[in-house]
Amino acid sequence: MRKYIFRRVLASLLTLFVVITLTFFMMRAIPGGPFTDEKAIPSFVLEKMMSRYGLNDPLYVQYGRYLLNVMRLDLGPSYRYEGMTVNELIAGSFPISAVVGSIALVLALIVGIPAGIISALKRGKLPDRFAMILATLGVTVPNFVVAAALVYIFAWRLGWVTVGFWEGISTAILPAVTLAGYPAAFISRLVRSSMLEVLQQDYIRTAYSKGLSGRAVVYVHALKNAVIPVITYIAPLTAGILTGSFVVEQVYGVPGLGTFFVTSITNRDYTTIMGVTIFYSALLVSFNLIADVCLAFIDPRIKLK
Amino acid sequence: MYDAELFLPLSREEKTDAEMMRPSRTYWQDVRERLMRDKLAVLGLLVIVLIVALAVFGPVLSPYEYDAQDFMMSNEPPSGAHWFGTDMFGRDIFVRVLYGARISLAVGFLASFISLFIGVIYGGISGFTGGKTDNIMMGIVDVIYSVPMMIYVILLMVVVGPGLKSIFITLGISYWAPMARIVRAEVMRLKNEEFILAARVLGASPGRILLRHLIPNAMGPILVTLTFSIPGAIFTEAFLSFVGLGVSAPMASWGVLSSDAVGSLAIYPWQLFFPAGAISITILAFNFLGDGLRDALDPRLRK
Amino acid sequence: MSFFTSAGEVKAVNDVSFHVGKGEVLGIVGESGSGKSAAVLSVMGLKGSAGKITGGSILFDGQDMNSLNMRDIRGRRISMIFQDPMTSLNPVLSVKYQLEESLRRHHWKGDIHARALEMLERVGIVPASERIMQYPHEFSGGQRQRIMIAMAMICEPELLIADEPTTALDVTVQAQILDLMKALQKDSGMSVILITHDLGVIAGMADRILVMYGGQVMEQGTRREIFYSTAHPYTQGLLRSVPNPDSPKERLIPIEGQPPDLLNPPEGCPYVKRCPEAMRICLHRKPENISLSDTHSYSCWLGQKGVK
Repeated sequence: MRKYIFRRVLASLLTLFVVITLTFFMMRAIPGGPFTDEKAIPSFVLEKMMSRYGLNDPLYVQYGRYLLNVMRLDLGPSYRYEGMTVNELIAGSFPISAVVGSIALVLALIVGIPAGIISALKRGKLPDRFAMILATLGVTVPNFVVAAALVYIFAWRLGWVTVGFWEGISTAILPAVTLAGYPAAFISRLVRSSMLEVLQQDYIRTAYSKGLSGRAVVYVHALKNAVIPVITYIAPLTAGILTGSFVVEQVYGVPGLGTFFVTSITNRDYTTIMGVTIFYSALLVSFNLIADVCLAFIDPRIKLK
Repeated sequence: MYDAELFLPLSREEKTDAEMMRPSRTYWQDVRERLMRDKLAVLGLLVIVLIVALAVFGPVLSPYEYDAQDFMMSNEPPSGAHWFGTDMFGRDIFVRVLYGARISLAVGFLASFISLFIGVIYGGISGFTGGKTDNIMMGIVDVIYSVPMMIYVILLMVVVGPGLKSIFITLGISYWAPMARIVRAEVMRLKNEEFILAARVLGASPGRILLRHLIPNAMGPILVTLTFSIPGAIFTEAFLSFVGLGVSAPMASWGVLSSDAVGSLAIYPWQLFFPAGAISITILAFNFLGDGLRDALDPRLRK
Repeated sequence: MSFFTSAGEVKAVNDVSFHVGKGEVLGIVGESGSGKSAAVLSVMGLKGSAGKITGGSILFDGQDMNSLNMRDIRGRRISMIFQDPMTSLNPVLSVKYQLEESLRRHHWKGDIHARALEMLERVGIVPASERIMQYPHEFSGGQRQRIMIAMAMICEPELLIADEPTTALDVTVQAQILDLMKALQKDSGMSVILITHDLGVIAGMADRILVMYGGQVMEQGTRREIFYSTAHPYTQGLLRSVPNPDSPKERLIPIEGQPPDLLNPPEGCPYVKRCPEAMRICLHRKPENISLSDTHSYSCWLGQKGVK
């Protein structure tokens, strides 16, 4: 087990290294420098800025320096927000996104898993049909449409909520529901199909042949096998919530990291784009790692591989 | 009572008459029949055909141009003259949605075919070669998998700049990893089958075996993945447009149309409703078709 | 009893009736798809969602099974082992859990853990105290079947149903598993229904034999009667297709053709198109059951040929 976790940690670090490298060189591949703008900057100012951010050094020196800084958890200064570091910018906006995201994640799991189980057990019957129609809508309707529709209904028509500024948890609910839609739908479909698959297995027949009740068979023998693919999906699930937040936060006016990331794209704030990308990737890689470790505890076969 | 006739031995022909055989059919005939029995899948297919037809012929038949502005008619609600109403520049939303279908569908199909091409070649080589090469190639795919793809698509779009061509390329080179995995798994499964060994014994070159024998036999899962990746690409394009990295005006995809409409949602909700509905219906149709196709191709359902 | 599949209704078992005495080993033999598994799964009430009993009743210990609570019977008084030990154990639960689960379910009086260890040792998994903590993937196929046997017998059932228990195993392991089952059966005095397509397995274990084809019973009798006074052409065909170690030069004669399609069950005898003795009557009318002794009977028109 320890060896397995060690190997997973190593693989995660390798992934992060690739991500950092890729991000760095991609940003450098953008035609024109980071200060190319609509407005012409006087060349002496440009020169000064270039040397201040170390952009005149050879590429490999810049790369090495960036890598070292990232290892020290320093994502560097922002090119656009004078005197702010990317770290400070993330620290300021991420907690808001984290609140919305966590609510969405929890919501997706507590709705998606039971819905999937019920669907599988009532296969072809009314609850299954109903849940699967909802789930299909959930994976097909883009979240900005859902967001817009919810804003229209709850903010403009009913006037229950205010949209456009942040007032803590109460303003987090609608965005969280919007963000949870897709993952909840996806999870319920995943749990359903994996449950149906598991219920056909020979060991389920064995369990019934022992005289166990239907409930014991489903909740002990089937569920433990059926959640394995769901755990593997945890990381992409978080990724979905993260990227969903770009749009959803914008529509609802939530001042989170998603809004901030989109703004930095429009502003061509390259260090911030790089920093946020790496931050998101690190987050995702960590979730992946956690999922892998959880999986090793649930599925005894994993330790062998 | 006793009838000696009945106790005469049966001739060989009479036995063959008694042969109770199911008519034999090819695999693809079976698949087609099962697919056609799936009502949702057929509905999905019909909707896709309809949308493609509308995208191709619709803009030609409409009396309006997609970029013709008419400030006297701005922000009109749906009416007999303008079925879907007009936008803030007085452009007919119906023709813009039809025109947007061209762009969104083109992105969906083209980007998926690029990723299909890369994925099939990559996965095919990886699975067919096996050993160390396979380990390294799949290691790379694993890394790609653990990267938040959407962020990289955004990053790539920032690098190559916005525009239709950039979207094709960016989506194409970003989303091939699932296809590569599936093709590899199929190739690994098939390459030790007897018909492949036979082809080898007959001296067929590895490239020929891969292209003529392995990939055609992996067509089922490839097709299913493709059916799901087309709506994925449409979705992603809409998302990029929404974030401001899509096609540029006056061209408009469904994503751009939706994005433009969000600002005036409180006053002119129909401006969002129509393009958003078009995206949802298209993605839904592809999902129905994909689900049906997957079920129809599943050999375990073949009894 | 019928099974519903996507292609239509499959008649798996027709008018099959059989009985098992106390302490007796009944062998059911037939090709794959002959309905032998369906027959016993119906005994257990484990036909799955596709299976549906369209008639008939099952008596156990003098009582109609439909009136009994099957869940209290399964695993306690009747238990079952299956064909493929590789997939019949739950991969994510420990052997200990899976063994003790039955004991807990059926309110075993006494030390549950001790009983599980005892059974594991009895089937030859040693050292039991260490191996009981392990998971199914840490055992070989033969060992897993031993665990399945331990699980099935842990509550001391009166009837054990073994559905092709050795088919998925290597030949040498097959013999070990059969020896183990025989020994356990002798010790406990339970009844066994042994389902197999392998006449060799049946010959070594069964007291009485039921020969099935196309969902119907072709012949039944004691082991002696089936092997030495074979009456049905199908049984004869089966015996001819098994190698005889005493005369190794003798050619094996296969049974030509395929088993019938149960989606379109034949009107007459299911064996007609492969039967070397087939007659016109066999095409359209089902043969009646003919008794040769108290224990021996078969269903074939040959027996009525020339009888007026």
